[in-house]
Parts: sequence; C-alpha cells; structure tokens
Amino acid sequence: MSDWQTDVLVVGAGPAAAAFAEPMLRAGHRLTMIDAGPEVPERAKAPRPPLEQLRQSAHGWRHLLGPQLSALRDVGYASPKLRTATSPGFGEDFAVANHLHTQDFRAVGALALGGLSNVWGAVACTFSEDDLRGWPISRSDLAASYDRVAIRLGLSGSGEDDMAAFQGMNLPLLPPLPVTGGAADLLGRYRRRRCDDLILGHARNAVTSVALEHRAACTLCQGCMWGCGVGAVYNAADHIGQLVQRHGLDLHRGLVAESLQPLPAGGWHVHCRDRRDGSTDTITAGKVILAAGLLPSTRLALAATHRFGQRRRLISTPAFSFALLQPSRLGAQAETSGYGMAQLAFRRRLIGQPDELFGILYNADSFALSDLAANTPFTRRGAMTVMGSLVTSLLVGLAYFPGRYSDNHVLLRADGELTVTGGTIAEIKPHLRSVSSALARDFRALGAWLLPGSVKSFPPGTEVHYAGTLPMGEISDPRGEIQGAPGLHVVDGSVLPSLPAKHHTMTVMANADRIGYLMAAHNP
Amino acid sequence: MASFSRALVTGSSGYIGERLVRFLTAQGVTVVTLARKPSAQRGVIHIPWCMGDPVPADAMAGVQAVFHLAHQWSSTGPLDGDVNVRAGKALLEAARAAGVDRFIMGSTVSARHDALNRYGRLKAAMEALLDRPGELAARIGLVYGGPAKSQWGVLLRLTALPALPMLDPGKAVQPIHLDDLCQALIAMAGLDQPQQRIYPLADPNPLAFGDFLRATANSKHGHALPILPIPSRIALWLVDLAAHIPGLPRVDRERILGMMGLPVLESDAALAELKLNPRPLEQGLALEPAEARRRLLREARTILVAVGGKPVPPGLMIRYVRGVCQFEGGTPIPLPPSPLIPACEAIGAPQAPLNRRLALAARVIEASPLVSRFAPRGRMATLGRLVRVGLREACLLPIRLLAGHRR
Repeated sequence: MSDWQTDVLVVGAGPAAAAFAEPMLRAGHRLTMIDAGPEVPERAKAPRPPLEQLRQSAHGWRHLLGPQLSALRDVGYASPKLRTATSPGFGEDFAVANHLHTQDFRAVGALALGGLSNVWGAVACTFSEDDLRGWPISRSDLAASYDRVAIRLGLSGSGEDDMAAFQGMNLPLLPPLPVTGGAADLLGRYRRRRCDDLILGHARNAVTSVALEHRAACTLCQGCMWGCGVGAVYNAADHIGQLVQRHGLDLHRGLVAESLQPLPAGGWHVHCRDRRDGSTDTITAGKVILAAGLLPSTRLALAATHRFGQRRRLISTPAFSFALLQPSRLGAQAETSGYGMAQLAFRRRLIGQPDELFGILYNADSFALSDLAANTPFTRRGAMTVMGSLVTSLLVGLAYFPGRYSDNHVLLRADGELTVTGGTIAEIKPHLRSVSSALARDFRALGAWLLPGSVKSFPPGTEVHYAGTLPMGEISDPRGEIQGAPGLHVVDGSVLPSLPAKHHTMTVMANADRIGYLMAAHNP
Repeated sequence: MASFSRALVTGSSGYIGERLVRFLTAQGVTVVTLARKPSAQRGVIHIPWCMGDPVPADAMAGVQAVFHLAHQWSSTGPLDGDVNVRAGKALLEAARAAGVDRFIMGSTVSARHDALNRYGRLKAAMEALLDRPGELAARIGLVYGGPAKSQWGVLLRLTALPALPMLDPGKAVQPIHLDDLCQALIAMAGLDQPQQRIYPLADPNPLAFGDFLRATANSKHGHALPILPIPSRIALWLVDLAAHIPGLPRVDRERILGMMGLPVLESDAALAELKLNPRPLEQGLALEPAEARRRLLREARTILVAVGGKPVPPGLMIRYVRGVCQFEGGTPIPLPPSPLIPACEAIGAPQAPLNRRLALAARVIEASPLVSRFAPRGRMATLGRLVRVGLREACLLPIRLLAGHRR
C-alpha cells in the first residue's frame, strides 16, 4: 500500500493518453500517468531483414514467432496482429482486470504500455464537417489538433488522389508509401478506367515514409504484421517514452484503476490495484483524465457518478472482410519489398442510403499464410497450398459500416462490473448483401474477382472501433468533463458522439490533444 | 532382518527383475545376478547359471536375501520333474545351506494346484516348497508400467488395436505398478518378522479387466478402446489360429488361461504389513515426462508432414512441441498416420483437437523456409497445382463431412 498525490492523473498509456499528455507537458504542467502493463512489452527488434529473408533464415522464427513462441497461440477471431504481437500476455486478462462481462461482443484491449497502438493497423484519417454533425464541437475546433497529431503520427499518404478529400485535406502529409504488387495493379487499372461508384486511392498510414527527427523511415520489409522493427509505425509506447525522457512525465507501471471516489473538497481518490503483487494503492489527484480505452474508462466514469443499471449505447463500426482474386496476376512472383499493411483505401456509397462504406485493401502476402489458410473450408495442407499459390494474386479487403449500423450496449451492474452486449441493427444484412454484390461488380471492372464465400462479417467488437458511451454534449462537456463529476475528464473514444465508417483513432487523438490544449491554457 | 546389503536375483533380465535390480542397487545393496547372460547394469556381480544346472558354489556367499523371479516358459511334461520346480528347489536348498535369512519366490495370484494354466499350477507347486521361516511367496497381481515387456508388453500391443475382442471383460483383476511391486518385494526382504508366508502383491480393490484395458488404451495410446466380448473358447481358438498366421500379434494361450482362472485375493493385510500404499491406476498409467515428450515429437512429425510434407527439419518439430506444451495443454492426441489425416479433418470445427494441432503446425511452417513449398511457381504450374488440390479436396470432402458429423 502506497499513497501519493498529484495535480493531474492520466489513467491509461495508449494513443489518447499520449495525445492528451503532450500539450499539457509542453505547457509545463506536471502529469502522473498510470499504465496497466507491468513491464515494457516485448517489441520487434531492429535491424531485421525483410520478411522473405526472415522466413528463409535459420533463426528468422525468433522474429516471426517471438523467442517465447507467443505467436503460436490461437487467437480465434481477433486480428492476426494480436497473435503476432510478440509480447507474451499481450491483451490477456483485459476483460478480467477491467471487470468486463461480454455477450456477443469481443472486448479487445491491451494491458500494455502503448495500448492497442502496439497492434495498430496504422490507418489514420480525419473526420469531415459532415462526420461531426451533432457534435458540440466543429471541424475547425479540431483542425489544429489534427495537424499536430498528423505530424506526431508521421502520417503518410496522398493529398491529391481520389481518396484525399475523404481522408482529410490540408494536412501536413509525408509522401505516400509505395503501392506494390496486386494493389499497384488495381490502382493502375482504376486510374485508367474510373468507376462511378467505387472511389479508390492511397491509404493514409501512421507510418513514416521518410525519416523524421525521432523516427526512422519505413524500410519496406513487408513484416508489419510481425511488429515494426524500426519504429516507423506509430506506437504510443515510443511516444510516451519520449514524453518521460524529454518532459519528465511521471509514469507508473502495473497499476489498474479499480474505482474513483470524489473528495468533499474537490479532487479524486483513485484506487488502483498493482498487477505485479495484487496490492492496492490510492492516488489523490486534483483532476483525473480517463484514457484507459473505451470499456475501462466507461466503467470507471459510470461508477464514479453512480450511473448503475443504465443501458448506454456503444458505437462500433460493423466490419466485414473479403478476398479479391486478380486472375491476371496468377502465378506472379512475390514482391521482395513493400509496405506490409493496408496500401489502398476505398469508399462506396451504400445502395439507397445516405452514407458510405469505408474500406482498406491489403496485398494478401502481408498476412501470415496460416491465417489466410484458416479461412478456407479445405484441409490444412490443401488450404496452405491454395493460399500459397494465390497469395501474390490476392487482395484482402476490410470494409466498415458507419457507427449507426451497430447496436451494442453497455450497462454498469450494481456490483460495479460492466456488461457489454454486442450486435448490429437488423437492416445490416440486406445492406451487406447488396453492397458486397456491388463491390463484386465494381472490383470486377478493375480485374479483381470477389472470391465466392470470402465475405465474412466480423463478430461485434472485433474491429475495435469503439465510441459513444459518454458522448460530449450529453453526458460529458466539450472538454470531456463528466456531468456531475467536476475534475473527471474522459479523453478517449468514449466521448465521441458518433462514428462514420472511417477509422477513428486519429480523431480520438486529435480530440485528446484538443482537450489537453484547452486544459493547459486554462490552468496555467 | 531390518536391512540387508547383499541380495541375489534370478530372472534379472526380465520385466520385473531388471527394475528390481535397479531399485536394489539404487539403495546401495550389492546385487548378485544368477542368469545366462550378464546383466547390462553396472555394479552388479554376474554369475552364469542356467535353470536346471546346479547352483554355483560361491553364489550365496554373504547373500542375505534371495529374489527368485526366473521362469522358464517353454517347459512341458509332469510338474514334478519340471525345470522350474527343480531349479526352485536347488536354489532354495543352496540358500538354506548358506544360511540366507530371506528367500522370496515370485509367484502369481493364479497360483493354485487346480489352476487352469500351467503357470499357476507350477507356482503352486513351488510355493509348497517354502516351509521354513523367512521363506516367502510373493503372489503378484497384474503388473503394469515401465518398459513394454512381458505381459505388460502384450497388453500394450493389444490395447493399440482399433478394437479388442475379449473374453469376459468383467473379470476382476488386481493391478500393481511395477515400481510399487519392486518396493513391496524389497520391503518383504526387509521384514523383521514376517506375519505370513504368502504375500499377495496386488491392488486390494479389484477392477474389471475391460476397464483396465480401456484405461490403458486411453492413457498410453490416446484412444477409446471398443471391447467386443467373446466366449473364452472362441478366444483360445483365435489365439491358436493367430499363431499360424504371420504378421498378427502373437498371444500366448497360457496368458489367456491365466486370465480366465484369476481369483481375487485379499491383499490389505500384506500391503499394510509392508507399509505400502499402491498408487491408483490413473496415476500409474500417467505418461512419464520423457514418454510424453517422445509421443509429442512423434505427433509433431506426423502433423507437420500432414501439413507441409516431407522432410521436416527437427527445429520445426521442437517448436511444435513447445507450442503444444505452452498453448495446447501439452498432451499428445491420438492420430492416424500422416496420409490419413486430411480425411479426418472435420469441416467447420476449428476447435476440434486435430484441427487445432494442424493450425498450430501451419503457424510453425509459415515461419520457416518450408513456406516456399507453397509459393507460386509461374502461371501454368500454379494453375496445375490448384487443379490438383481442387480434385483432391473434392474427393476428401464426403469423408470429412462424415468425420465432422461423428464429432
């Protein structure tokens, strides 16, 4: 048992926490941050040869499976990146440690420094004025934050292709990462023969295409799915490490916040459990900033304000994956270098609907062959042979519906545990059918055939785009301060009032940065 | 006779004898072996002896305990003149002449003058020779565990069969683990004042022989053993027939007769006197770590070949075994031979044990040079390969659907 005091306590050590902390620390504020990870997660080591060389070399398996072989474990439906994250215990115990009970919902989270950015697909785009409809803040409130976050992320992408406007204009962008293999083929055909319904372009990636002051440039080793060895993919763990070094951020490891208790004279008691030895600590803080990830932050905030038994909406972006075969590339040689995550982004209007689907495309050889093989009905050997044969002529797509198609709820039980129920609105089924046949048509015009049976809906929660449980303008104010709980702010996805189909990480970070700036300015 | 420092063992190369010698030497006892061939174990004094020959003069010098475990299985003719009885008598007399304190004769739970099998009748005749204090008979139950030799070896082979025809599967047996038996024998030699002449060394709680075999099949071979009860006469006839057909496992009809005539013995008192608490069957059958690892390595080869083809580099097998130990519970699963595995892969059952292991193997292979076995090699070759795989998968589909259905 140890107790200490701080002016501002940040709960969580992921992208939102880093984005909030940066402006506060720059303005000279002292911050304490608690991170649930007991130790620094094991990371991919640099220098590392390209993926193909790794596979061929005698000791490459140490990189690909991790020295403790943690990548051999079965992660079921979750992203293959979760498995190939070489840190043992990554993501385990998340639900238990945070008192979560799920039903038809896969709660993905990381009790580790850097949070889910350790396994981020690094797709980053901004929300438009339209996307912010109903929010208590406008696009211009976020503009400066988007710029700062883009620089910190090392955002690479095209500012002028067809997808540029949709993914955010006037941003300080690094040049786009090269498009290779089947993705290059598809983009080339698209440029020669535009479709009316499907818009295609470079993806926006939080990956440095050129070296920055504190970040190396992507080496195009194709091994992104096995963790970035050079730190080119943004990871909040690196960012927080720099904040500790340069700005004296006070970081405490292994602590999970259990409950918050308001003090009569203002300020909060934060009761924490030490994951290393099970002991409890109480931290007294003037302000508490929750950035622990939506589910833990929501539980803590609802409990702190006694909102027991209230069913609250949890927004997610229902997702599905599909595979495209490019017959003209059949038998093509594997690329020897390239960026190993989403190279292309697309959008498509939903038929008869006002909104759009957002999607990204990967060259299939970015994935572990075993993961691709797991999604076929063939025998394991047959599947490996089929997928191995097709891997250079296959694109894997992930597409997301806007948040209004999700139907998830959270409810804080009287015993302080949070139940999460997952689902989608019933009308999503016909939309999925119509849009996947539309996509099949669109892509066929570009020489890519949608593989029969390859369209697979993700179970709710798996895509990890969570928002909306404590929306600004309703339960929190534009500075993320929870109603009825002065000094308790939430700066992660929980406070975003709605989600378009786009990835929301950059907006979560921009919003946290905005709140950090406001707080730094108003509390000198 | 609380302790002894020199013991003589016959049958020291047999299933029980070999382990007993190891136990004795481990306890610092000097062991003299009387046998045809020298023992492979170090620190043992070997004296050549054939059953039926006179006992060498110096054999009993300084010996405090004799364990007579040797048995000549091929003897025929009347019991009186049997080589086993003659050798037992010769050994006993030599021991008496040398003033050896303790003589322990290995016997059987089926020892009776009217036993169905010759072995039981022979042992009964030999037990009758023991009439002085310190001359004890160990009536040994169904010994299991340790190396696959003797009757235990036969049982291991039988339980490996896909199904086992069996006479009277409800017949009660009293198993004892080889190590418990050796401890009991040594305890018998160490008794100050033996309370009885005959020590039944067997589990006091009998269980059905069929259940024993099922437990063995499950633990040692990892499969459920269907047992088809058959009348004993037909069994004996089948055993005789099998002896004439090459390639079939040979089962001695003596063994069958031994089983048919098994009585149930009260062993509580004997075990209590020996202060021995025999381990439960499950524990006795549990795989030893080295055995489990060997099985897992065998499994690794089978599974990796089924997914990635031959040859399999040893490094991959080791990674597979480590993976199974870390993430899959570490227990080997029953497997058909590699070529039959695809037919057993249930469809749409990723959590079926076989499918989980295959998925693990795929992850191991994916992170190795073997992955290039699946890489595309030009347009036409790739197309050809896809067609071949497609045809094979189509053929396998109905069988796999059935396999999945059975689950």
